[in-house]
Amino acid sequence: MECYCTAKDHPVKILVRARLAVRSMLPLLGVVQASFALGTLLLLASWLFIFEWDRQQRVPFLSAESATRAWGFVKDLAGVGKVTSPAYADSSEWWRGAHLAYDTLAMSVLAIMLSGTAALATFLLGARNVMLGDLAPNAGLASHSVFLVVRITWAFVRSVPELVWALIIVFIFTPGMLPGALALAIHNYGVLGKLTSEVVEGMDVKPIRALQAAGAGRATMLLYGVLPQALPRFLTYLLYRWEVVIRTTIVVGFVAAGGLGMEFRLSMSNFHYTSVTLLLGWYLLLVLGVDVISSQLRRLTR
Amino acid sequence: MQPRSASLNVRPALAVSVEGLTKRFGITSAVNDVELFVPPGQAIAFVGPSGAGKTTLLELIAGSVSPDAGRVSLYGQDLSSLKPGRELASLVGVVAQQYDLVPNLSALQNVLAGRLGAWGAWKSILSLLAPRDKPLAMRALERVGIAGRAEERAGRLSGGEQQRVAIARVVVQDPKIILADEPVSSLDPARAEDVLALLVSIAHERKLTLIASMHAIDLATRYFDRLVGLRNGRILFDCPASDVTRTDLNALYKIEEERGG
Amino acid sequence: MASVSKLMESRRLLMIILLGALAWSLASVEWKDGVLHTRGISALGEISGAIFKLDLSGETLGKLLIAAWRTVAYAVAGLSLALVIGLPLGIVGSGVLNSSANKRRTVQTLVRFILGFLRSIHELVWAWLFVAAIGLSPLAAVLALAIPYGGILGRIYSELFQDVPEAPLRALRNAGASEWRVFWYGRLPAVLPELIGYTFYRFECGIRSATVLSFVGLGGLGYQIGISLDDLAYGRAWTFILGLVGLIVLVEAWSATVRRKIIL
Repeated sequence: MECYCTAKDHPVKILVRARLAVRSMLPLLGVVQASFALGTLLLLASWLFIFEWDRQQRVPFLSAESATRAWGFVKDLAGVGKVTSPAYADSSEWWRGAHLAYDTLAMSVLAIMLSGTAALATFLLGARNVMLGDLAPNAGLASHSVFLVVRITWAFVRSVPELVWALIIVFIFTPGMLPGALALAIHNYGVLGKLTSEVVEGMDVKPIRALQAAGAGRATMLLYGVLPQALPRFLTYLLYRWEVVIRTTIVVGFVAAGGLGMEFRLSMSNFHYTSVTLLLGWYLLLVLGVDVISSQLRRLTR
Repeated sequence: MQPRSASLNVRPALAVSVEGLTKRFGITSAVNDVELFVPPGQAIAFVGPSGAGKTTLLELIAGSVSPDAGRVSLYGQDLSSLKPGRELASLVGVVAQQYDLVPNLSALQNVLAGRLGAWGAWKSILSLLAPRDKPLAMRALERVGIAGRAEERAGRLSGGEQQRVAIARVVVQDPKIILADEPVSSLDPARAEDVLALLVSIAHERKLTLIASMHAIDLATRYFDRLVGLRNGRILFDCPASDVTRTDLNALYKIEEERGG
Repeated sequence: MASVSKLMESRRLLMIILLGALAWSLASVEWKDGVLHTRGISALGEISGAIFKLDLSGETLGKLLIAAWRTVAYAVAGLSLALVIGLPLGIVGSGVLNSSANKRRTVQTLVRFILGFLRSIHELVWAWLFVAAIGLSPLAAVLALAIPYGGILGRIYSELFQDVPEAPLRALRNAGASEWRVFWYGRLPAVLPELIGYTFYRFECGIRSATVLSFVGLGGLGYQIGISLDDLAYGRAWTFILGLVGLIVLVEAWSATVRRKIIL
């Protein structure tokens, strides 16, 4: 691995060596067989645990009682047998839903654009070949550390789910769509950063090296060699993640108090099940609409 | 049980008979009014320039393409009346140019796939986990000379080995007619000759009819009983391999200045 | 060169659309009311400072272990159920078993619609609906996870099954195999490494989702993080968050190793 020879025995190199050593020992264990065994064990243990736990509940999930309850709940959602008229029969409720859906859409766009901007600004710093490998003629301690910090940051922010970020952020920001968008953006920044840097790592470096041979500086090389190749894939990922984000906005809204999510929570807590139905309808429309728009926009990148 | 002599058929049934066969793609005819009669046990090669219709003719005989006009019969049965699947597979087996093995399955499993037409549904699925009819497949692999690599994934075998597996598969399928589309054209000359010799000798010892399309004219002349020269979808000559002359071949491969009918 | 310039043009159009979207979304935030809490900045300081004051008491670590196991159990059970939903739908929905083009299109459209519906609603919403309908049960979490994941797996699987090189399949058909047998002997072996790899990747995501699911009160890492933050016990919250990060990093490493081994 020629990319490490410039870095002499500093901690990063030792870390890398240890990783290589572990990796070279793995075939002895038969990773696939061991994983299969572990997977089977986990599967059995998990189902046993869950059935046992379910049996201890007051109303087990798989019981006649729960079926009656579920049917009752479906009737509640539909507003059958209630004195008050269902929410979806009221046009002002529809308008309120439309307004919330608009806010939710704005939240999702803000979230994906913030994470996209952050990822675009930093994805080169987390690409191994740009920082340490073929495209880094003299990578020193500085670029090793930057690479490591960026990678660890991405791994950290994407490991923590959006909802947990939202829980933390509401301590700092006033409730509204901004904290929700920020929570979504932080998590997706890690996802987009990883995906995009993997695109760069999988790129054919020969034409880029040719630019360098032609006397281009490092900045020029990255700007003209790497960016045009990576940008279309980046935009595709951005749009794919937007489809995920719109589904998650409702969940973040539970705690960050923005859009459909907050209203969903309130309606659930107040047992206004027919407005739950209405809000879910708007949510489905929004998800469907974003899927359609995203697939149309993706065609522009090809 | 009727005695054999009671049969009213005087001459033995032809393995393949092709009458007035035509196949058009758009306005060009890939195969144009072809007549061909092949007795059982014969090894016959289609030769001719690229685009002459060799592959299309083989596909028509295999039943994977249906003709625009004319008919094909195999052992006296009309091809269009044969059901695809088990019935057809018991008559016709195919060896393709290359890339027709499943790369992620072992050589052994690929050979056993030749039995899929004969096996029931459960036996097929069970065999993926615990191979059925293994001795049969091993004998076939031994015959083609690569029994030692039975457990290797097909994708990791060399081109020559892959063709041997394809031949073993058709042996296990046990059809009466083998159709081979350019069976050795993707191999280097030495290996091509080995594999072709193997294919022809297997066809002889099992008394199978072998119909192949061939690129290399010298190999075709040496290994086949009969050559059929095809050009623009028509038969230019059809004679024993030893009777093919220089003039025939020149006419077959000459560069056409002007494309006529 | 016309096509290249057209491509450039459509990319520029896309960039303009995206920048416009950013501007619109920024404008729809109500900035004038002030976006920070009065104590927002100091809260940020307290919360980030607490990462150095982790709660490593035996009680918390014990809770962490139990919560981590519950989270893994949800993810494993949920994903296995998702497989039971996604694999048959993926096979049928790919249309590869139908030889008539008309029937294939009908089946594809129908199954795509079902899969689309399954994955359109977030797992936490399902979980909440189940809990509201029936009451707290781990099976509510498992089912909630399995529905959207079944939809995603089904979609990806059906695309995998459609996208298999034709030549080996033709050879199997020539050997007399029906479309079902072509599936078992040709399509499944061809896509198996990718199928396992993708499922493994989804398992990673499943751990994260299982964390979120436990917020509705089903126990698990998310639940513990939630109550720690409610108690303003930031140090304890960080312990659970870092536990989650560790768990996910572990699963990611496992998944990456397996994927490297099987995709050759």
